Amino acid sequence: MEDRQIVDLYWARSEDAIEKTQEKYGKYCLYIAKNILGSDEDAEECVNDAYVNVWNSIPPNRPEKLSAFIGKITRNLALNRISYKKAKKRAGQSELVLEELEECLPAMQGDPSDELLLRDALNCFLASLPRLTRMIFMKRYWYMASVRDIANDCGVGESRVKVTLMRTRTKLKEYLEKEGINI
Amino acid sequence: MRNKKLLDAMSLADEKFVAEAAPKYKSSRTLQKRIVLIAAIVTSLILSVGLWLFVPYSYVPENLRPYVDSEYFGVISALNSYNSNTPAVFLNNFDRYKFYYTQAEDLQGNIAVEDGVKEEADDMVAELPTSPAPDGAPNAGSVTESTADNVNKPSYEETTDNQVEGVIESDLFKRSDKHIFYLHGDTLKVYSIEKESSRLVSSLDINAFEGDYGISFEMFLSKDAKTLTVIASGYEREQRQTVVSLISFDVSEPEREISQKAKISVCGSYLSARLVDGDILLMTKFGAKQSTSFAKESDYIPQIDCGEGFSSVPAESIIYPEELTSSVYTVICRIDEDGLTLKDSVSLLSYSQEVYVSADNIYAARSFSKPEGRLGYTLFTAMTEITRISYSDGSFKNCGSVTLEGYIKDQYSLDEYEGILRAVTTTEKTVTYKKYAENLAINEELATSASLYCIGISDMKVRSSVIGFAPRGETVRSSRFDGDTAYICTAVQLTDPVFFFDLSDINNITYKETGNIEGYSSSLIELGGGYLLGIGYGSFSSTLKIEIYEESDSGVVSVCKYELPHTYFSQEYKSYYINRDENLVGLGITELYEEKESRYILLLFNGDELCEILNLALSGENHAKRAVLIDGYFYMLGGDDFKVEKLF
Repeated sequence: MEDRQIVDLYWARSEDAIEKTQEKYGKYCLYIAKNILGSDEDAEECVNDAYVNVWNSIPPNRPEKLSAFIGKITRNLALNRISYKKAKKRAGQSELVLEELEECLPAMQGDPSDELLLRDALNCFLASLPRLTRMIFMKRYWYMASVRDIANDCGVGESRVKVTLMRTRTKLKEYLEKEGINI
Repeated sequence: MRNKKLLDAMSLADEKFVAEAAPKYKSSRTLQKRIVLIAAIVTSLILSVGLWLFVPYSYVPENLRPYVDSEYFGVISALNSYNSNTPAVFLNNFDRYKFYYTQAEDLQGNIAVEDGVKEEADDMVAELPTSPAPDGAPNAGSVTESTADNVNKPSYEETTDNQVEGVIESDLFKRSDKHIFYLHGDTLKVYSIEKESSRLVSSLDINAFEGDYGISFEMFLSKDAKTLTVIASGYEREQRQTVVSLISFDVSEPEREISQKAKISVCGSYLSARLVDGDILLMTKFGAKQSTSFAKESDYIPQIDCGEGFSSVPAESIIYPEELTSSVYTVICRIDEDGLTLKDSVSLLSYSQEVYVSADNIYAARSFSKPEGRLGYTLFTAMTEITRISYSDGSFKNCGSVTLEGYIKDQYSLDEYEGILRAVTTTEKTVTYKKYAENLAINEELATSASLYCIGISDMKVRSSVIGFAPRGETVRSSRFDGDTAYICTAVQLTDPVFFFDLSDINNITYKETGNIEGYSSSLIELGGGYLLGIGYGSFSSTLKIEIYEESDSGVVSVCKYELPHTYFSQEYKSYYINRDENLVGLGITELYEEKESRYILLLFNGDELCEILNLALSGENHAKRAVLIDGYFYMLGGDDFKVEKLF
């Protein structure tokens, strides 16, 4: 079923909307949640919460790309949930990702940038990257996928994934410093 | 944590970047890899098998130096030269296996290799009768003791309409004055001749004597009716090829016992056989293997087993032309009927066509094409070489050859009479490129016809001939010689003229014909009294037509005919019952429609018309049905049926 048709179900308040969403994006959301949370149980709970959030968000929203819409909701819910988890070992890839992102942070230069500025800068940076590099970066820092999974998905070796991520992080740091963006 | 905020900030990434990096699920990726791997393996397998099946064979001539001192060096050289210049019999492995598979099916499912070791069957005894048949009812399924008087010695009675008087042809049906012997598949059945009380008195499984598996073809019965010699084909494991065996049985008292007497085997396939003055002339075909190293004689030299294992025929007994046109031999063995001892043999390499046996000579034919280079194409003319082998003085002797234009249809296309060999051929030419056949002049040249030759047997030279007497496009369908007369039927499809040739003066041969008649005769039989009988097809290929012709002043006329539509019959001449004394004609038929019943019909020619006097159900294949008139009773055999009808 097309995304537009599923969104129409939400607008019609049809109970089939969630079922169709689950059929089409269930595995996708579970993948995102599990990468962040590390636990099947937590991931399933998070995904269920995401369905509720989508139901409550549509209407008034009418997303064109339902995958991105529900993917973001799932990711945010997972990240919020991780804040309350105390055991690092059950935190999936998130702790590792956080540590890696430490390198990207520019030095403190005054007031934090607003969200809009950050968003534009980030997207411009991502747009400037080669496709494969961008995919690897997004898979790691948006989807929180493991290096191995990224390597398998992209058909490259793990070493290449690690090197690509390291170089891209360095570039992001330089870019953010050049743009004068503080986080 | 600032890095946490950056992590959160990643949520602001554009949807298109998120979608671009969406994961491909591990299962689908793995599945994709597996599909690609399997496809690659399957493609490799198909390519490998295809290469193995379809890569063409090539023949590399062998160095013949090691065989210089061999007694077969002449044959080896001829075969080596032939193999080098001839495309492989099989183009590739696919061609080879397709041939063997088709050949196996053609053996009518009788091929079966038994596991284990077969015991020698020298002392096997026929099944003894177990229960009597109902009185007065001939029943092929029951066995009982005969009540015939065994004091009088049996005598042989001829049942086969032999082409040459005194040269007895083998058949699956023979009789003495007391018993009828009939080969039904691999089973020999013996019936008593007792009119309405006739019955099956004995049966014998020939397969038990044959080896791994076998097919029984035909048999001979000795003049004293005590020895029955069966010709059977089987598979010889050691030679890894088919063999033809003669197996003789003592049938002096078939109700009591049928025991094996002797056996002799020849490698190859069965062609035909004759019995002349107590000697069996067995004719077989043996094909030399094309891919041969010549190290193994049995691959290219005919083999005979006289009871002490297979051995090669003597080199001096092999006859072959300067240039081979085939790697197949016609092997002729002269075998004493009583003990099945080999008296002599001759092997004709490159000969694989018909064999005609007269009272003193054997004529073996081989066909080949004579090329003639023309501008832009090659014209091939069908030719036949006939070699005369005399046997009347006890041993085979090569007496020369003659080459004629055309090809021979069957043994009835040849006849020896008063020192002259008469031969009828169908003449045929072909070209290499069909487009040239559009040229009218070449078309005319390519049309088939028929020719008649008279050859002096003393020097095998053509004395006279009638070339192209048949209408253009026609081929010889049947022929028969009777003294100074030759009867020849030609046809293109379903219209035939029948020719009557007067050969009383071979330097002035004349002939008359019927003109076009609907249908054609596949067999012509002289009935005596100036009448000629034709058995064949009517205006439709599914119509049986039996017609009587006679010669008039102006030509040949049809006296009468009998037709049965929607009927199948066999072209096996031996299956026809011909009684010239009583003017009877009988044969097996199968109705093509309705119940598709298998039957037997008997016709009487009263001088004016052919009258059906018998028409009854008789099972079995038409080519294997047989019948005989004995003391006013008509005995018929076919399949599992044995029937007796009172006629006169």
